[in-house]
Amino acid sequence: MSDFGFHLAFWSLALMTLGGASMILISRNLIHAVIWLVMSMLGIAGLYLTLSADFIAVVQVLIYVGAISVLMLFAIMLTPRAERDNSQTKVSAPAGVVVLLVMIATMWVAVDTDWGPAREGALTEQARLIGESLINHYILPFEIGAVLLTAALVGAIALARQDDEDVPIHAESLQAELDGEIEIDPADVVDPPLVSDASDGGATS
Amino acid sequence: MTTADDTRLAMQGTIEALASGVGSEPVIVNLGPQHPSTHGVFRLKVTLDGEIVRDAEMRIGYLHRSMEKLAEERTYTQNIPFTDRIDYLAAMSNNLAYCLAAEELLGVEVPPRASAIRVMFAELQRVASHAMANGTFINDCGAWHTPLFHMFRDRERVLDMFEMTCGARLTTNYMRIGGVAFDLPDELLPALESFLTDMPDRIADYEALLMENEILHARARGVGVISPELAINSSLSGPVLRATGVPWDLRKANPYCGYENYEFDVPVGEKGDCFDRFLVRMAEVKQSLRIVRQVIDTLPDGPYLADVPLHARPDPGEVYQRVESPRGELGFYLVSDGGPAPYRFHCRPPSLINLTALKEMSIGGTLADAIVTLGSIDIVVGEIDR
Amino acid sequence: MSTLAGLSSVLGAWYDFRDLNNLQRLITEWIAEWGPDWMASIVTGVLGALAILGLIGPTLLILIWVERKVIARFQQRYGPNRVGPKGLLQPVADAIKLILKEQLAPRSADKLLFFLPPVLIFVPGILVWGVLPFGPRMSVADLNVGVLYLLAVSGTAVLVLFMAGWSSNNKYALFGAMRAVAMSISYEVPMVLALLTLVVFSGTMSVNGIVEWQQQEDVIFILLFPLSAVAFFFAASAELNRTPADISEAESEIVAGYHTEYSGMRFGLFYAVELGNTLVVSGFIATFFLGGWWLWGLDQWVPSWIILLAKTGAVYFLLIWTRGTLPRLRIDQLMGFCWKALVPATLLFVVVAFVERTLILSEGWDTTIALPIMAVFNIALTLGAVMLFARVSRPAELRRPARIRMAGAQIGGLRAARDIASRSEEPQFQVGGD
Repeated sequence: MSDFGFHLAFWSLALMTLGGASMILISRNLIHAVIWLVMSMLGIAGLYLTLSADFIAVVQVLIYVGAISVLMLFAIMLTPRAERDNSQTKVSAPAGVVVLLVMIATMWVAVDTDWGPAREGALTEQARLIGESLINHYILPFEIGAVLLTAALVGAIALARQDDEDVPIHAESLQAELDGEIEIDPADVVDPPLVSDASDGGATS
Repeated sequence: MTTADDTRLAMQGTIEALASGVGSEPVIVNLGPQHPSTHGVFRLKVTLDGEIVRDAEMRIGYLHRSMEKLAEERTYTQNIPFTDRIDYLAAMSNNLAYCLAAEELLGVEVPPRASAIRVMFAELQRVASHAMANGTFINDCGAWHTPLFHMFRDRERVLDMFEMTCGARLTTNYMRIGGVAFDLPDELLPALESFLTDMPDRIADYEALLMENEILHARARGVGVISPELAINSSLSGPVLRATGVPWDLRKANPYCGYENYEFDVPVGEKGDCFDRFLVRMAEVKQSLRIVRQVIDTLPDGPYLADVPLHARPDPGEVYQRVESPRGELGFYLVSDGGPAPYRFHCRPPSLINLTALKEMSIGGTLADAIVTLGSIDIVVGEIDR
Repeated sequence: MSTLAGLSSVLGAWYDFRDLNNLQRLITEWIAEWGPDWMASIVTGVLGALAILGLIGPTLLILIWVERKVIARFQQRYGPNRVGPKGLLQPVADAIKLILKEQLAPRSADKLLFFLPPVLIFVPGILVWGVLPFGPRMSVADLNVGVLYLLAVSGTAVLVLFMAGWSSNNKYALFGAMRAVAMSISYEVPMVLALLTLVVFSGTMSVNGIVEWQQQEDVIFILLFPLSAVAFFFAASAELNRTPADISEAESEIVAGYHTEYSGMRFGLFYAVELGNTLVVSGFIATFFLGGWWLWGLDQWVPSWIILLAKTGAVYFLLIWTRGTLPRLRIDQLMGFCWKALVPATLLFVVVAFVERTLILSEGWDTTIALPIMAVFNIALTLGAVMLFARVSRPAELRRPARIRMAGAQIGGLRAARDIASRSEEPQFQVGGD
C-alpha cells in the first residue's frame, strides 16, 4: 500500500475515533452517546488494521462493538426513564477531575513510550503468538482474569436470580396463584344437574 | 429544581431499583384494535413487566353494528340475514338458533326433513369453524400459516357445499322459520359423500403432523389454564368449557332438531389448557362427521319448509332458545308484543362470555402465552360486538 | 484421457470458469504492465466486490420467488404466478411497489437514528460475504482470522436492529429490538463454541483453511461434529429471526418487531438484508460443515462455486422448510434452550475436539483410521447427549400425555366431570408424554 493511502486511512480513522469520542461528551442523550461510542470503537479497530494487527482489530469489533455497547444499551434500557438524560449532577465535578487525571496519565504514557514503526505486512500467526504468550509467559494474569470473570458471572446470576414466588411464568405456579386469589369453594359452584345417569345408556331430554 | 435535588432523586431511584432486585417498570401495551392476532378489531390492553403479563384489560365495541336494535325494526323473517353476520364463521348455527327461537315463539312445527338438513348443515358448519379455529390457533403459536392453509382446504369444501345449496358461502341465510330455504340439490350428496370419505385421512394427517409436534406442546400445554369451577362460574361454554373436563354439550343436555336420535360422543379434556381446547376441537370434528353420516343415512323425505306467513305475528310472549354453536352456547332471546317485528331481540354470544375468562387465563404468563390463549378461545369479534 | 488432454489447454485460461482466479490474475498482470501495483489490488478488489453485489442482487430477487413458491407448495397453494412467466417477475413488481410507497416516519421518532438503520443494516450484511470462499483462493478477502471476522461483523448487526427499534418510539418495535438483542447475544455463544470446535480441530481460523482441511482429510465436518453443526444451524436461524426462533418479529405478538414503523423501501431494505443474510448463512453452513466448494473431487470438473451454490441451496431449502412447518418457541424457552442445552453441548464438543486433536497431533494417530472412529464416537455421543437432554429437560407438564376422554352418557357439570375423570378405563385418545 502506498504512503498516500496509508496516511489517508490513518487520518480519517483518527478523525472518526476522536470525533466519535467528542460527540459522546457533547450529546445529551445516553443512547446517542453509546452510538457515538460505537463509532469511536470502530475507528480504533480501523487503526489496529493499519498497524497490520488484524486479530486485535477483529476482536475489538467483536467485543467492544458487538458486546460491550450492547451491554451498555441494556443497562440504559433497564434504568428508570427519569435518569436517562445526561443531566448535570453533583457528581460531575469529581468525575471531571478523575477523567482529567486519567487523560493526563494516558497521554504521559503515550508521549513517554518509544513507539517503533509499525511492522510491514500482516503478522500471519498473530492468534498463535498471542495464545502462546498467554499460556506461557502470562499464565498467571490470564488465570486471575479467568477466575475474576467466573466470580463476576456467578455474582451476576446470584443478583439477577429472583425468588420462586416472585414471578410465576409457568402454568402450575400461575394456577396456584389463581387458586389462592380466587377462592372457589366447590359447593359455591352453580353446578348444572346431571342430565342423565350412566344407567340410562343415552341422552334424553 | 436544584442540582442537589436532582442528584438526590437519582440516587433514590437507584437505591430503590437495587432494593427491589433487577426490576423493570411496567409497560402498558395495546394489542389491537388493529393487530394481526386479535382476529378482528378487538383491543387487549396488557400491562407487562418485561415479558410477563401483570394485568389484562379487554376493550370491545370496535365492530358494534347495532344488530339487536336494528332487528327490532324488521320482521321475523327479515332478521335472519342479521344472524349470519353476528358470527360470520358459523352462519348456519346462528341461523339455526334464531329460527328455533322464532319457531317456538310462533308455535311452528318443523318438518322432519328440514330438521335433518339443519342438523347436517350445523355440523358441517362446525367442521368448517373448527378448521378455522385450529388453524388460526396454530398460527398464533407462530406457525407460518401452513396448518391454517391445510385446514382451509376442508373449510373450502364445506363452503363449496354451502354454495351449492344456497348460493352463498359465508353469510348463508339458508334457514327459514319453519324449515330451510331450499331443498338439497342433486350434486350435494355426491360431494358430501366424497368429503366424508376424505376427511378421516385428512384428520389422520393433522394428527400425524401436529399432535406430536414438540414445539406446539411446549407452547400450548399448561398455558391459559382455567379450572372447571372457575369455568362454570364464568359461564364458559363450548370447547373452552369442555377442555376443562366438564361434559356440557347442549346437543346432549337440551337436544333440539332431533339430536337425540343421532349417536355421537362429547369429547372432554383434562387440564383446561390451550392444547386441550385444540384437541377437543379436533375430536369434535370427528363426532360432527359421524353425525353428518347418520343424517345422510336416515334423511327423511317430505317437505323442507313449513307453511309460515312472511309477516307472521306471534302472540305476545318471550322465548329463549339456545343451541351448541361451534364456539359454545349460542342463545337467542326474543320478546313479542304481538307485532310483526320482535319487541326485543337479544343474542347471547358464546365468544363474548368465553372472552371474559381471558384475564384469569393470561395473567402471570408471558405476552406470547396471552396471544396463544386468545387464539385458543376462538373469538369472532362480529359476535362479541354484534 | 483424451478429454483430460483436451481440457489441459483450457486449464488456467481466463475462460476457465472453474477458477475465477485466472481472470483476476489476467487483470492484475494487465494492469501491472502500465500502472502502479496498488492499482491492481484496488481494481481487483472493487471487481470482486462488484461481482458479489451483482451476485446478491439478482439472487435475492430469485430467492424471494423461490421462498414464496416453496412455502406456497408447503401450504397447498400455487404461490405467485401472475406477474411474468411463472410469477418470476413478482419480486420486481413488489420492489417497484415498495419504492413508490410513501416513506412514513412517526412524528415522535428519533429522526437521525430512525433514518440510519435501513442503510446501516446493509454494512454487516454485505461485509460477511467477504470471507466466503467460492473456490480455492476465491474469496474477496481470505483473512487468516476469517472465522472471527465473520462473528464480529455479524455481531454488529444487532446494534442496528436496536437503533431501529429504539428510535421508532413504538412499544412493539422496542420489544422486538430488546428480543433481538437478547437473542443475538445469547445465541452468539453456542455459535462461537460450535465454530471453535472446527477451529480447534482443523487448527486454522481461515474460512478457506477449514474447507481445505476437509478436502485434505477427505471428510466433512458434519460427520465429525454433528452436534456442532446442528447447534450452529439452530443458532444461525435464531440470529436470522426465522422460525422457530423468530420472536423478534413475531407477527402474532409484536406485529413486525423492530421494523414495525418502517414503510416502503425502508422496510424493503430490512427485508432484503434479512434474505441476504439467510443466503450467506446457508453459504457458511455449507462451507463449515458440508465441505464448501469441495465435493470429493467433483470440484476438478465442475466450477467450485457451483458446488458451493448447490450446497447453499440445499441448506437454504432446509431453512425454508423449518420456516414453513414449525411453530414459534417462546422467549423463555428459546433462552433456556440456548443456555441450558446448546451452550453445554457445544462446550462438551469443544473439549472432545481438543482431546481428539491431541490424539492426532501428539499421539500420532493415523488420520485415515482415527477420523472414522472419531466420527462414529462423536455421532454416538451426539445422539446420547440429545437423548439425555430430551429426558432431563422436558417440563413436567409435557411428560404426561394430553388426554381426551369421551363423556358417553355422563352429561352435566362438575359431578359429571369428576365421574369422567375418575373412570378407570383407558382414555379414548391421548398424545404426547414420554
